[in-house]
Amino acid sequence: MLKLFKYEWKKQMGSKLIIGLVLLALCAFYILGTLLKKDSWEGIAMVLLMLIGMFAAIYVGIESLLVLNRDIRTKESYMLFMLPKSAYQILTAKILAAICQILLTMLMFGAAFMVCFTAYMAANESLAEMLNFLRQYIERIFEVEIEWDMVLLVLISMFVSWISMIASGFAAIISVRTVLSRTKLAGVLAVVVYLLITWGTNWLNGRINALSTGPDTEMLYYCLGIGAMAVVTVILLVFSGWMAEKKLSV
Amino acid sequence: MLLECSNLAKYYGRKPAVRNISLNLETGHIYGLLGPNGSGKTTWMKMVSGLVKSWKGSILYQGQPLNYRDKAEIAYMSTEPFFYSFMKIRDVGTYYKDFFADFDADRFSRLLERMELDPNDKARTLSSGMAAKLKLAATLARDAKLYLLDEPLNGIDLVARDRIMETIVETSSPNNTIVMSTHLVDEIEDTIDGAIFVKEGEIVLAGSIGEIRAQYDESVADLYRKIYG
Repeated sequence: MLKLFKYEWKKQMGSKLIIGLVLLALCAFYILGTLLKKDSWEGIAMVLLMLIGMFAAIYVGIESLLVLNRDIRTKESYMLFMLPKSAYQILTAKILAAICQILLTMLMFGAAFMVCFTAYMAANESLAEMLNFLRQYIERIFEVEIEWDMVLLVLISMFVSWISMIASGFAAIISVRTVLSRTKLAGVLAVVVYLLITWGTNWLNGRINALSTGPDTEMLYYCLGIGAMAVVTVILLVFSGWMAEKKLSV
Repeated sequence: MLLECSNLAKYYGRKPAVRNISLNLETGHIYGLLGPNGSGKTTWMKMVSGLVKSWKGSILYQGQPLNYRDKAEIAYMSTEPFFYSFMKIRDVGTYYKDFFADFDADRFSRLLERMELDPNDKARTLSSGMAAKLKLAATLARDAKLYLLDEPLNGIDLVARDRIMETIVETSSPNNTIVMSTHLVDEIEDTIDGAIFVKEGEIVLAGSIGEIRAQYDESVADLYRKIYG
């Protein structure tokens, strides 16, 4: 399993290097702004960090799906499927690599933000003042009051949603490639099936959220939503593994 | 019996790729799987290698239904290059060593030398002939029980073909079985001891070279021309 993971990891390292270089450049730009007391430079660097962070999270997910698609559609598929490993092991390695990729990406962005905050604090404020500033900043932008326990739930929810997105993509690609093999239409149809699965998952989540009747139950149903999405994710992954093991030809 | 295939059939939509193939392979032989392009040779090899699924019939490997663990003893070499684009030639060896317990890294190095391949070259930049040699070196560096070589001479120049045939013969032993698919019958006639003629997904003739020559009083190459001509 670890060896499968190692090669899945290698397949996506190129994009992590690029993201790392961009982050380094943005950190350098921010620190330069701090040293030269250029607020606008700091602001631009921070906004870019946030925007690129969102883009990177989406891209890392899509890249996992593109790699799977390539591993099934092209002759490189033999490299995986000629191995004495079951399709379940192969998909588990892929999903673990995808999770580690997003964790690494988050870690890289976390480190970049930390570097920027440290630079800011060194030049200006204390940690408490910094966090207070951040809260006020976000509250002003999004016009919401921050509750830190809800922030944690939202982060977990985003993480589970992200894994669910990958699992939906795996199920869509494998099921369509099983039926349509290497035809050009398969790519388009995989997107359609993916959208249908996503719609189904969102509908289920919406039903669960609709059960929420007041502020007291909001957190409970939020947790239920995360649980439901986790269950759907596991079902999608088991289905994908079964299809790949029993039906998928490469 | 190493491999027993009974009534194998594989359809792509309504189009048959393999029809009603029943075939037994014994250990210690080199078989030629003969037929023109599109006759079902590759599909059959991919079925035995576990790359093609959803077929009818049965495949028994050493008396048991084929499963993914058998790939540890079955070495398949496809006709097209299939190595990851990020790999150098030496990475291919590392990959095989990582996943196949029967892979011999020293033999791989020797085969690379014999094939005049530089371990530092990128796998994706190789010419078709060099890529074919790399596939063969990686596959034959395994100590497999069953080798399935799909068109091993495709894209290889005349001089290198002799070297490759020598390597295949060296790999052959009483403990393994080699199946080579090809339409270059002249090149392998002296090497194989069994021939399987496939036409439109079906076996039209199979037997040992001695039997076939005695029965038809013709060389395998002449028989090939007669069957497919």
